[in-house]
Amino acid sequence: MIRHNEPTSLAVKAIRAFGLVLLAYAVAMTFLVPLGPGLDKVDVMRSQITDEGGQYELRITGLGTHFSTSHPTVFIAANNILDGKQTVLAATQIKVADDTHLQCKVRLPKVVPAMSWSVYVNGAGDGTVSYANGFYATGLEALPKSGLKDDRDVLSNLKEADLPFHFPFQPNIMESIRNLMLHVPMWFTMFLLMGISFAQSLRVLRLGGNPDRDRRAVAAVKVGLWFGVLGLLTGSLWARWTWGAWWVDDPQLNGAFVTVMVYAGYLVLRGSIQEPKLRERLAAVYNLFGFLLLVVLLMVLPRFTESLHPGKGGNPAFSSYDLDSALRVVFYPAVIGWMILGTWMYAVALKVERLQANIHEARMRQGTWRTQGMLPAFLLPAQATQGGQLEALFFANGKMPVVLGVAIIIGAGLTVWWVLHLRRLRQLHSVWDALPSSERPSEAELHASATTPLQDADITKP
Amino acid sequence: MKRSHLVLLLLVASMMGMFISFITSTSRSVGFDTAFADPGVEYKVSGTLVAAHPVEYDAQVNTNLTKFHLQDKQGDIREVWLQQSKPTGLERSESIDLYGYATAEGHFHATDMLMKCPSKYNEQNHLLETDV
Repeated sequence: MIRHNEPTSLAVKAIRAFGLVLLAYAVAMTFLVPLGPGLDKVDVMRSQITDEGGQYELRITGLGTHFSTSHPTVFIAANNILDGKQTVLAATQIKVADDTHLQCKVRLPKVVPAMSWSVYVNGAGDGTVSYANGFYATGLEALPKSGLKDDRDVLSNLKEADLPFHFPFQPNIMESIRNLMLHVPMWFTMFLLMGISFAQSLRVLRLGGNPDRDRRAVAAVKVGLWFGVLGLLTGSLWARWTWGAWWVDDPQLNGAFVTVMVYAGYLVLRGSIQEPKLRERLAAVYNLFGFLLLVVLLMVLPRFTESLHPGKGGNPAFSSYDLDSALRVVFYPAVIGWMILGTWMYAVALKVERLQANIHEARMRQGTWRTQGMLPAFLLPAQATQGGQLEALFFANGKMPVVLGVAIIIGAGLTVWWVLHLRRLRQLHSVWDALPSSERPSEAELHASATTPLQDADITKP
Repeated sequence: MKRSHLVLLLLVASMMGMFISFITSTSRSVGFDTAFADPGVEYKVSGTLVAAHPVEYDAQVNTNLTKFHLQDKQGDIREVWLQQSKPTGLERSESIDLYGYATAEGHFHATDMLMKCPSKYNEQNHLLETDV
């Protein structure tokens, strides 16, 4: 038997409180920090092609821009294939409709240096925002040596960006860049928990004997799996609205899925063996393989293969995300906060395991043990299905709904975990308290086994 | 368990891991040459959008057809007929994965398309080269 009702030390409480503060800070920042301005869309409203050239009316849609107060100038640029230099052309007749919409005209000669032009809007406060290849000069002819007059002087008086603390605007990712603080720490927390489990399994094999080491390994895997499943679900949602598919046949994604399956296999394996000593050892050996597979599949392999997932061909951990400093001051605290919460959940799961084991043992003494309804290993939150209206819904507001979806998945997943575990813990405590004192081991008994390590199960030892 | 056993076990596990990484590290995307040598057979082709050609999409003619040109990793450029409405942000995509087959008419018929996102999350102003 092992003590299951050890009081939490002040230091641990302080660390947990610190973790909660970090998490609160990270979640608040994730949602409150504005996204930097960017361009969402460039449409050609009207075009007129004559012998002299083409005149095009462009409608530019911004995201988080301030067109009505920034006095924007618009220019377009094309790459000259011959010398790689860019030809710059200023747009005229800029008409601002509101903060995020403006119209302008560009006039091009019949022969242009390139067909595809990037569109730039410069304004006070917002600085320069752009849309690569946003405008295609239909109806004209491309010739590298076109001799087009270059409005390069428009570049000499660009207004500087003067923005509050913000997250960087990335094409295609847009608002969903906030998911970095939600999706990525799920995997970091899982690595940590699986690492704890790996260390405990090593101790089981090296030192043997003490069933509490096995319990620690199981508790860590159970919590780690929960984070892994949340990582998969949030990643899937994010992928759908950025890459275009719920799931992609990709080394990083398949690696993550296989890893989660391998650890689910760990729980299945343990559940299928009745003999405690055998179960302990087999599970520990399996766990060694599981952890090394995790390292290979999630950390090593994706570096060598092509992948849609960021971190490809580099280190898929901290440094690979060439992170903006604004993201870094939120991302790092978020990772530490989630990790502290993860270890807290591990402590709760371990308490459940210990209490279950103690009740089991107490009942065995009396011979009145019977199977109790066990806690389900984990529940999968249902995944949303694809539909026509979903498309418009999730693309709205620079993909902000994707961030909300991810936050809801994580929030719901963790709430379910805590509700289930706290309820289970209360239930087990009441069962324990209801046990007749003859069945319950004395306080001294509990204490003795908790402090002195059990002997090695090696048969050569007495 | 003896220390030597444990070391041996870890060695076996890491060798298994290396084996797995070896067999899966071969990339599955092909170039246009492979796809066009074998028309009608499904392949995955990765590459980048060619800006010198237009992205053609007309919702009034066909809502499920987008035409553009893709340059694969070997530098071959082919016309692509994507059986989808024009994906948002196609023009500014970093790289593109296409799933589909080559046709006898000379274009690549894509049934599915995935866009790679920027993987470096820092301020990206797309400023002109001459500015720097």
